[in-house]
Amino acid sequence: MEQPKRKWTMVIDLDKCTGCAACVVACHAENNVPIVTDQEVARGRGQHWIRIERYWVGEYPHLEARFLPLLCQHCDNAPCEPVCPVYASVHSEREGLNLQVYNRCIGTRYCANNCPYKVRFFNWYDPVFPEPQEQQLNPDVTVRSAGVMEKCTFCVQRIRRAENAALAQGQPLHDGDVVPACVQTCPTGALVFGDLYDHESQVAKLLEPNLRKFRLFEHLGTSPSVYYLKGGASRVNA
Amino acid sequence: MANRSVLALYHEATSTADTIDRLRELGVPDESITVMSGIPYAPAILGRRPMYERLAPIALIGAVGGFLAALFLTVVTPHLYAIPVGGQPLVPGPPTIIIVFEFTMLGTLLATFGGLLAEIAFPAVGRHEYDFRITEGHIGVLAVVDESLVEQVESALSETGAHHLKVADTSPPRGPQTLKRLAFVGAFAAVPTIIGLLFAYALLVIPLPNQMVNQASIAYDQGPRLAAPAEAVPVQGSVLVAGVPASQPVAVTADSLQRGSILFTINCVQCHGPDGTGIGRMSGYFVPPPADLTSERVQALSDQQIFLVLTQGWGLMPSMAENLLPVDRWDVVNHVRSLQK
Amino acid sequence: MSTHETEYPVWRRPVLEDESLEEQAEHLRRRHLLLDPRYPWDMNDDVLKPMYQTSRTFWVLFVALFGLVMMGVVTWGFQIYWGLGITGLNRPINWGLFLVNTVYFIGIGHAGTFISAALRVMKVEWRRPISRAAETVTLFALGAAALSIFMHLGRLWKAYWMLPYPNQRQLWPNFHSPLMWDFMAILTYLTGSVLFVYLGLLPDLAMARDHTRGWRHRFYSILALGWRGTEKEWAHLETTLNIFSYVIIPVMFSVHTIVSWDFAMALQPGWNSTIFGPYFIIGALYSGVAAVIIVMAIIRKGMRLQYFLRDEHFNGMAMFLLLLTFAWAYFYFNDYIAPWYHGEPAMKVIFDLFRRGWAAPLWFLMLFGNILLPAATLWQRRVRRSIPALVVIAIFVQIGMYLERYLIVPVFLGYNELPFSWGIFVPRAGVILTIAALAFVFLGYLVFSRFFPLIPAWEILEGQILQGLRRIGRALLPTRTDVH
Repeated sequence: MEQPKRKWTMVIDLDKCTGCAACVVACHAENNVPIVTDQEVARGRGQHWIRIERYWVGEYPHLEARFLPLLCQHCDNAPCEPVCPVYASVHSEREGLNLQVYNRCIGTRYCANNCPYKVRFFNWYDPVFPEPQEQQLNPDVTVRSAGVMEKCTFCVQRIRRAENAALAQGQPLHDGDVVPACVQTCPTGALVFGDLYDHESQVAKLLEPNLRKFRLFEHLGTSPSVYYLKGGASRVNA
Repeated sequence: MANRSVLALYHEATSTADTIDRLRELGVPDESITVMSGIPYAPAILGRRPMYERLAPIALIGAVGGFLAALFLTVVTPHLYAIPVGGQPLVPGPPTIIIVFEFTMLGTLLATFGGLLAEIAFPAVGRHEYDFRITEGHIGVLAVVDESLVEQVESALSETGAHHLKVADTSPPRGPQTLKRLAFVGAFAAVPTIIGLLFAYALLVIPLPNQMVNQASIAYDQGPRLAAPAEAVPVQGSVLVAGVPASQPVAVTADSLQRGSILFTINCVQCHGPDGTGIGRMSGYFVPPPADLTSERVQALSDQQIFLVLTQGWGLMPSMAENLLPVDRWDVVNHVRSLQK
Repeated sequence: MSTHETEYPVWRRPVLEDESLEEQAEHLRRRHLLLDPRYPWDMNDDVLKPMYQTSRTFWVLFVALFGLVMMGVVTWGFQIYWGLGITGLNRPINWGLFLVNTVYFIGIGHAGTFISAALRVMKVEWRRPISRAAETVTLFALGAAALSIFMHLGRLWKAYWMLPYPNQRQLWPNFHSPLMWDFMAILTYLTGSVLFVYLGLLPDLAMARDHTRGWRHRFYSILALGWRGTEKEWAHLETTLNIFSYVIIPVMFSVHTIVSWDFAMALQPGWNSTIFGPYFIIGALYSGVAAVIIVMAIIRKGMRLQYFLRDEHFNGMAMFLLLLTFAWAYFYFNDYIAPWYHGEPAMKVIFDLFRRGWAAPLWFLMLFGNILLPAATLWQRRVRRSIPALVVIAIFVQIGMYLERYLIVPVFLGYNELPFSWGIFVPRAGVILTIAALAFVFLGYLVFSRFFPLIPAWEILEGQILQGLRRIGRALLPTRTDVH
C-alpha cells in the first residue's frame, strides 16, 4: 500500500529552551551514539547528534547565554547529498528526510564538509561500550563502526515503527504518534515534532501564523525542515 | 619460386633514398620494400609515398564509444535506479557534461592505443628480419624479392653504399598471427575483467572486515538480556533503582562509627539530641517533634530507608544531601544503628 | 654551410674552413644539445649505462626510501585497524593532510604532461631530453596521489563501490558528486599518462632490447612488442603521439579543475570561490615545473647526464617557472581580494589569522616561497644558469605550494559560519604517511630509472638530425626544421 507523502518537521522554541541538554542525552541513549573520552572531546571530536550551542552575548557582568539546539536540519536541498560519491546520503522525497545509509558509506567525509550546520559526525574510532552498557543499546538502530558518517535521523526507527503499527491497524498516523527521543525528553516542551502536511498537527499550528519563526542560514538555500522560534534572551548571570 | 629477404644498412637518408630508387628501377614493388630506422623519417625524405592511416577514424570511433558510455552512466542508470539527492534533478546538466567529457577523452585514448597496436600488428609474434644497428642510427632497407633477383639487388645495394648486407630466407609466418595476437591482447584485457566480475557478483568473496554485520546491540530475538528493573528510569529524587540506593553501604568499622559520631554531632544533634532520642535544642520548635531514633519504629526501618531519609528529607526534616556526601551519610547510618543498640 | 647536409651522417661533423665560423660552431655545440651530435652508439651507451650502475649512494638511498615507505605501510595498517582517529582530524576539519597530499601530488603530475604533450604540440625543442623524466614524475606522483586518496577513506576496503559496474545491490555511483568526477578524471589522466609514456618509450625499449643481454634483453623484448622502426610503425606512432598530445592537454586541464571543484562545490567559506579552477591549474603547473627542475638536477648529477641536460634546458624551465610565478600571483590575488573586499565574516577571521594569527608564519612563508623569492631571482640569467640556485628556489616553491594547499584544506575548514564549531587541526599520523608518500615517489623513480631509459634517445637523435647550422652573413645561426 502506498504510504502518503509527509513532511517531517521540527519546531524548536528558543524561548522555552533552557539549555539543559536532556535532549542530547536522550539522543545518545536512543540512537546508540557512542560516548567519546574527554581527550577526544578536547580534540574536537565530541559526538552529539543534537547539541546545544551556547553563545555568550555581552560583557561581564551583563552576560547573557543564548542556547541553540542544533541537529540535522533535514534540508530539502541538502548540500550533503549530491557530494557523496556512493549515494550514502540520500533524500526521501516521500517523507522529507535526509537519510544516511551506514553500510554504503565509504568515509570520504565530503558530506560533513559541505554541511553548513556541521551536524554530521564521523566515527574516527570503533565505538566502545563497556559492559554492561551494550545491554542498553537500541537494537532498532545500527551500531556504527569506524569509518562511517552518522547524523540525526529524526529517529527514523520510531517513524518506521509508528508507520508500520498504523499500517497494521489500518489507521492513519496521528499527530503525536511519532515522537523522537529528544522531543520526548525535553522538559519544557521546546522541541515539537510532526508532519507539516497534516494541518491539524502541532507543528503546523505553531508555524502557520508565527512571526517568530526562522530557519538557520536561509540565505544558503538549503531549505531546512527545522524551524526555530525566536526567543527572549536566556539570562544566565555568570 | 621462393622469396629471399635482403637487408642493407645505410648511414643516412640520401643514400637510402638512392637505394630505394634503384630498387624501383629493378622492378621491386613498393610494398616489398620496408625501411627501418631509429628515428622517424618523413616519407618525403626517402622518396616514398605517404601511407594511409586509419587512426583518426579509429580515434573518432573511440570518442563516440566513450560519449555513449558516459551518457549511459549519467542518463540511463539514474533512471533505472532513481535516487534523489540534494534537490538536484536526476540528470544534472553540468556534472553530465563533465562525465561525458572525461569518458569521451578516455575512449579516444584507449581506442587510439588499441588501434595503433592493431594497425601495426603489435605485439609482433614470430621472427622478423631486423638488425640491432638500426637503433644505432643506421637506416635499414629490407627488400623481399624473388630468388632470381637477389644478385642484382645485392649489387645495386652495394653500389649505393650499403654496409652490413644480409640475405636470408623469408620465414613464413608461423601459424595464424592475428589469432595469436588477439589471444595475447584478449587475455590481457579479459582476465582482470572476469576476475572483477566474479567479485562484483559475489561469486568470490573476500572476508573483509565488515563490522556492522555483527552488532553489539542485542536484538529482540537474541538473548540473554538483563531484564529491565522495575523502576529503571528515575522519576524524582536521588537515583533509586528497585528501592535500593545507588551508593553502597559502608562497612561498620571503628573508623566509620567515629566519623559517623562526629557528623551526627555536627548535623543531627540539635534536633534529635546527643543520644538520638529526639530531645535536642531545637526539638521544641517542631510539630510534630523530631523522631526518636532509638524507638522501635525507627529500629524497624532498613539501613537503606534511613539513608533515603537522610538524602531526601522527611516531612519537616530537610535533606542532608547538601551537607553530607553519600559515604558520610552511610557513616551516620552506622552511628544511628549503634545508638539503637 | 651547404644545404646538402644530409649527405653524411649528422654525427660526422664537417670541419669549416673559416676559423671564425668554426669558433662559432664550437660555441653553439657546447651550448646546445641538439647542435652537438655524437655517435648514436655512444649516446645509447650514455642512456643505458646508468641503468646498470648501482653505486653505494644508490643503495643507501634505496634502503632509506624503502624504510620510509615501509614505515608508511605499517602506519597505514594501524590506521586501517584502529580507525582514522589517529590522524588528528576532527569536526569540523574532516579533511586534512591526505587531501593536501592528493592535490599536491596531482599538481606535481601536471608538469610532466605539459612538457611532453603541450611543449610537443608547440614544437618547443628543448623539451626533448626532459620529456620522459618529467612524465615519470607524473606517473609516480599520480600513484602517490591515488594512495593518498585511499588513505583518506574511512572504509578503504569498500572503495571499489566508486566504480560504475553492474552489481547485485542495484546501485551505481553518484555522478552528481565532484569526487566521482575526480575519480573519472584521474582514471582518464592516469591511463593517458601511462599509455603516453609507454608510446614514447617503445623505440627506446627497442634500443634497449638491441643492446642488452640476459634477463634485461628478454624483459625489453616483451615490452618492445617487436618494434622494428618500419615506416608504418613510425607513421602510426607519430599519429598516435599527436592524437594523445592533443587529447591529453584538455584532460590535464580538466583534471586539476575537477580537483579544484572538490572544494569549489562546497559551501565552506573560502572554498566556494569561482576562480579555483584556473587557480589550481596554474598552481599545479607551478609546483610541477619546480618538481621537474629538482628531478632534472638530481638525475643529471646522479646518472651523469651532463651531456643531455644542459643549461639551456634549465634556463627554459626557469623561464617557465618565472612566468608561472606571476600567473600564480595573479590568481592568488584574485582569490584573496574578493572575499577581503566584501568582508564575509568567516573570511575576515581567516584573513586575520593569516596576517596576525597562528597561521601567519605559514602564510608569509608561502608568499615568500611562491612569489617573493622566484620573482626576485629568476629574472637574472646568472641565477637561471646556476643549477644549485634553481634547486633551492624550486624547493621553496614546493614548500610554498604545499603550504598553500595546507592553508586551503585544514585551516579554512576550521572556520565557518558557526563559531561554536570552529576547530584547529594538529597533524599526527598523517605526517608519517605524507613522508612515506614522498618517499614512494622517489623510490619509484629510483627503481624506474634502473629499468627504463630516462632520456628519450630517439627524440634527441631526431632533433639533432633536424636541427642544423646556417650561415647568414658572418654569423652561424641554428636552424630548426619542421618536417611533419
